[in-house]
Amino acid sequence: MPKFTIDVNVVLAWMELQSPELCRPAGRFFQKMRRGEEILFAPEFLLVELTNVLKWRYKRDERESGELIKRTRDSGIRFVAIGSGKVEEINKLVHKYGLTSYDALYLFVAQKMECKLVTTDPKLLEVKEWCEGLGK
Amino acid sequence: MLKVRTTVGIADQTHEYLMLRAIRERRTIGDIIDELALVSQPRLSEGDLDRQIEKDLAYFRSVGRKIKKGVKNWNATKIIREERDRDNA
Repeated sequence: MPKFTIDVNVVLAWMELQSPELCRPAGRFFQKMRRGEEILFAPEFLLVELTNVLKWRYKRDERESGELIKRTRDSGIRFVAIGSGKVEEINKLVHKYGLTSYDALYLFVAQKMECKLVTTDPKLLEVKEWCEGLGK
Repeated sequence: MLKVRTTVGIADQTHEYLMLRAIRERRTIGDIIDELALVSQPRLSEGDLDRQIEKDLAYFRSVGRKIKKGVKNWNATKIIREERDRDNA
């Protein structure tokens, strides 16, 4: 079965907070995941990052943020916990690719799950061997 | 339902995922596996599944519409990049 790791910007495309040409393929990922045709992975950090932008960038209140975070958690994405034992590997990715540690968490999950990271982020898309653009 | 006790080898991350989910939902790992395998849950018909998927996506879109009304800079690619780079100036 096809499998992918997804960036939080794919989840935000489900909310149509991207251009339409990115929202359509994001919706297809959601549909295929729910139909059991694809497996989507993400670091648990995705939920933390989502919580942060909902409050501080998108100005959502606690109730609405909470509901959306819960629905994302239960959407069918397989969230991967990254323990402190993996920090050396994260560090390696940060330095190898010149990424922030936040970016590296997503890349780490993609590598561990042996699948591509789907993202809309130009910086991550520079890591061509592991990342592919949404809608590609 | 008849339950079978068995020993299987699974990836450590799968085990961690199942364990955390079982704790969070106060269920057994076996119940989670049953659910994931759709053994203990009746399978939705194609039509019902499509409707459920559309309903779930509609919820995400409805929150997005509210955000677009109240926030000028809503482009997800841009704001996620800004947030991740914030401490790296």
